[in-house]
Amino acid sequence: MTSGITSVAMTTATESVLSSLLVRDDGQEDICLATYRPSTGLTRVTALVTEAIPPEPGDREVHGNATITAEYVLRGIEIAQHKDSGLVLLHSHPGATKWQFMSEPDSDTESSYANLVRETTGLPLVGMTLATGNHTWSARHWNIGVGRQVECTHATNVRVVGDQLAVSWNDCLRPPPEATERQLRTVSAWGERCQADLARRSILVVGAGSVGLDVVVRLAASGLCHLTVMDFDLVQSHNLDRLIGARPRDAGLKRPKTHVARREGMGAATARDARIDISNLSICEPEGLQLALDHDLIFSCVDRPWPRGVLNGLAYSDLIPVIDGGIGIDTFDDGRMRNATWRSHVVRPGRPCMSCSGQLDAGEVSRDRLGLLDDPEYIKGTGRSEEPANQNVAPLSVSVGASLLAQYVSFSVAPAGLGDPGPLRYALSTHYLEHLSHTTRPYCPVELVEGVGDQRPVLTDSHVQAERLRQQAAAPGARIRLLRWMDDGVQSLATWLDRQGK
Amino acid sequence: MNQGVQGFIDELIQHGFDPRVELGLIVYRVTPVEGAHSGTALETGVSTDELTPWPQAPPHWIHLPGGIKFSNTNSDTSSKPGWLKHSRQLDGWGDAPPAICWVSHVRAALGEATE
Repeated sequence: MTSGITSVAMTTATESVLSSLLVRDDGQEDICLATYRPSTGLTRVTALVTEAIPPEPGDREVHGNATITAEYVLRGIEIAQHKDSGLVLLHSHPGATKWQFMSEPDSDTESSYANLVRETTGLPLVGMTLATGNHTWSARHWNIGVGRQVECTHATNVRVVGDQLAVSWNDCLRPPPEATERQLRTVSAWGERCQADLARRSILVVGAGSVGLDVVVRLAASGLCHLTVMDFDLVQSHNLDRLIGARPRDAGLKRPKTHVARREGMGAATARDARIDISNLSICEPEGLQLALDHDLIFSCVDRPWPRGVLNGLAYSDLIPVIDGGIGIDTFDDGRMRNATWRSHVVRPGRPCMSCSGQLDAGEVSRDRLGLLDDPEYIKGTGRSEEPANQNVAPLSVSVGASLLAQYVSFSVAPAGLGDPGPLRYALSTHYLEHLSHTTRPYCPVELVEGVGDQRPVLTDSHVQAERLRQQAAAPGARIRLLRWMDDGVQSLATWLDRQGK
Repeated sequence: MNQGVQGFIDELIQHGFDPRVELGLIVYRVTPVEGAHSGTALETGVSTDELTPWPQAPPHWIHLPGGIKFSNTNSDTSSKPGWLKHSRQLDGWGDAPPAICWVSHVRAALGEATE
């Protein structure tokens, strides 16, 4: 346990089974067990609910309320141990419609088994309640104290991942932010309740290049309270034709791309207490992956195979949906433009992974991870140019960003009840939008590890390029330090003036 | 769940191979069905360093005894003396279990050997 922040996540498939066990036709409360695996982030631990353990006759008594027997709990412990998992104790509150805190009998039941479960499985008991009136979940981890003096930490949210990302919020720990005057048009598009949900989601944008920067600015403008941007790269002159918002001085001052993303994002933010955290880690580094696990949703705005491979894996292993996309520009031999296609999709359980949908070559992930794509000796040995195709232009990178954001809105808001539309590809030459139909390969090793959390395969490693650039950014000469100080002063003044405007 | 170095070993055993750990490599035998060594069981290996992400990402280098030659190859020294590692990319997984895909890939590479 790294801190007191906890959450729970599961797929709609798991939720459907649990709901069928907890929602009764006769309107009485019911109770059941399930297994979970922990997914440990930098500041948050998430219980990934993996499998229901249905009650057998005599395992519980239903008498308006429901009582669980010790035999059922012991059977659940045995199954959890066998599966190297933790145990979840779930019950329903018929007709309730919001996050549920515990009554004394509920608390007594869970606390009476909490120590036994933790001692036998090595993981804290997780308690969950389903408010059946509108399918709101609530949860807590019994992770405080020792022996029989065990207390619980209430979760911040419970996420159900399917065609939509449905989030139940603990309003005490994450109160719904008040919509501001600057969000009127946004709120009028999907309503206050939806805005209160979206604004609280913790979103990570991996990659602050042309697409990532645009995504950050627009998410901040839509009223999100907390965003994180991860990129280790620095602004260079050749980026300025696509990094809209970056200035020549950002390249001159060797500013990290995340610096620009935070500056532009905060400038556009409409939430009263908007926060944009930045990280100069790579998602390929163990610490970068751990930071990612603190988030509810991730935007993949990177084009290298290795980071996309890591994101592809965690979408399944840790049940954090990844909205991914990219652009390919074809040219004729004489350099004229032939076509451009951009794609977008939500990578999540229930959809084919990036490899199965042809968006990621697992062999390229290995070459990138081994550093071969940047190794001049290796490239020389291949007898051909290994320069990645990196054509990109500002008028089209915005289309990639728009496609990712449209996926985000469908996945989060489900206009007309329609969520994630599946993989999309847009061809510029014919202006044709195609819905791609891909299926999962029979032995896909990525989708096979759904919900394994901390037992995920290790694709992370040290990242030489990220380390080099971090050192470069951290050790500027005296002149650059002075100019950065002046630039920061100008920025502080601009921020102060913006606040006066608010 | 079969993953990492042990996952690779377990899968090879499951499919009838006899892998062993030797000098940082998992060494096993594969019989090519074409080329100069057609029908002969040849030793080949994979570096354990490359197997950490198995099976989410396949290894890249195929380690072979120095006596196995190719007309065209991008090679480097192996951790096993007298052996070379050859750059051979497996372009993603097919429709078979990962270990079978990998062995098929190695078999195809061995089929290109000239001596």
